[in-house]
Amino acid sequence: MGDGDKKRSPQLRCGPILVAGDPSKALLDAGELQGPSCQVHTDFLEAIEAAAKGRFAVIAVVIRGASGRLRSVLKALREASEGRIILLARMSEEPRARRLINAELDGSTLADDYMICPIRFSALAARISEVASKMPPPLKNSPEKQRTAPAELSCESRIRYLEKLATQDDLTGLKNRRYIWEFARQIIERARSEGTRVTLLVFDVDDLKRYNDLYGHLAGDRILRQVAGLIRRCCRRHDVVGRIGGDEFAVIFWDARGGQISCGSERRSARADHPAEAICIARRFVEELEKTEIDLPAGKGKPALAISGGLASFPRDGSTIEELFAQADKALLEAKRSGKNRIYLVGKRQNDIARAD
Amino acid sequence: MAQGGFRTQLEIIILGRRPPKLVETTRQLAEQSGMACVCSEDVYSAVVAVAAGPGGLVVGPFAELNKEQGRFFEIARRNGFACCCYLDDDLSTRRTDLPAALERGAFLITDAAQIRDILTELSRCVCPAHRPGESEIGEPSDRIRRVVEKIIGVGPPRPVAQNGPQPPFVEHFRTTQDELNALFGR
Repeated sequence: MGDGDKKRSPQLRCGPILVAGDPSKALLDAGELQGPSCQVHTDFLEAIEAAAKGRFAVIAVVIRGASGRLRSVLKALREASEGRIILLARMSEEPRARRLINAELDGSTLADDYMICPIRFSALAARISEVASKMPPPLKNSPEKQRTAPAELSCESRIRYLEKLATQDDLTGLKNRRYIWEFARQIIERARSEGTRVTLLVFDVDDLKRYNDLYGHLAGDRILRQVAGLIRRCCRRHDVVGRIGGDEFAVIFWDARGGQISCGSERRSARADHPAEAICIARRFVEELEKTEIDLPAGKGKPALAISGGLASFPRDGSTIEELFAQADKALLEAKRSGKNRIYLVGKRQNDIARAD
Repeated sequence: MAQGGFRTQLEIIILGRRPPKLVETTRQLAEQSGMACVCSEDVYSAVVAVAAGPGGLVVGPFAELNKEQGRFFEIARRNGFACCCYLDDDLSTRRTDLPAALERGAFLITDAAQIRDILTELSRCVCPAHRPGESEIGEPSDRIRRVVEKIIGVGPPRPVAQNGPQPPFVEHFRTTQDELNALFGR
């Protein structure tokens, strides 16, 4: 037994694992995967055959490289095996992974869980062991299928809760700064390799400090939650929205494969031109803001809600996440200096894009 | 084992739903021959069917069977299934894939009616009534695999193959390189 096996054996208590897809696209130490308890099949058809013939506790499916056939592959794996299916997703693939674990298939779902990659094999094994060994896949037509142990569910829930704590802003429920930066870094990397574009909107709430001073910080928190709810509703499902500072928000508009955008009565491809689609969404957001009454204590008046923002696009305005944020931030400052309540596009500063024709 | 029971061990997997004539003909012929018939939506679910199946024939459009760089042909072959590829109109776009598919033991057909002859021959080959020697060796599924192996030209020679005449239809139904050249107008 090699050193790698010695290290792995205590971690793979859940039973054999099948990795379907190219592990180098999901694991930082893909070379260590070979061993008696782990089978790797970079080819999906071979992986399905292995799943049908072997008895795997867990099948880890690498999303990257499976475009266009992932649903069919997952469906076949589900049919072939009773093992739990865990998706290995890049951050940019997280919306897709979420959809797949919620996608119905004859009373089941296409996948059971997902993990954000890249990760180390040891992390994958630890997570799989923790979850899968305590929740063995039920046998077909067995009463076990109906049974779920509360203690085991709570373990999975705890992992989910910790994940949430690490990536979510607890005040607004949006993504936090750490997640936004990491997502932006990965999505820019992907856009660079695939020749797609990414647009970043950074905005803050005008005069929030004044509301805080006048009505108290709880009122300020309510305003932030209102703004968060509005921007989330205006964006497309796959756009990533987060709070990155006190009253500062960021939205990453990116091209989801095969998705669609709803803008007014028109439906368009999510791969349409940048930053035009982002501008369209920003406009709708500003319109919604103007229609919204601020949730203030009774009898305190009904002031209007306003934001100032900056919009920067990759690769036009910057080639790294730092450059893009710096450019968007500069445009935001310019919007503030010009009188607030407007959104400036980098390189087009004298034109409020939220209101321009 | 009764002849009927043996026959049902042979499985026909129909891949996809197009062209309708091919699907319908294959289904009818499978029924008439008393063979089990399984329908698979795509090549991925077909892998599950061949991995669990007793051996037999996979019928479907070439474009679907050839997905994933034609790896399905190898998987089918090692599970005792022969692939019968229907060549549709976009043949010219796939001309580079055809020789590779042939090398992997695929049959090429251009008419749904050809399925009848293939199934008849396959059925005759694995049926103990026609091939008495077969019934004495191994389980029915093994026998089917051996016959399919013989048909698609892989696997070691079996004692039973030496006892009886070789099925002649290999040459009839396998498209040769010359025929392909003729098809492509080369």
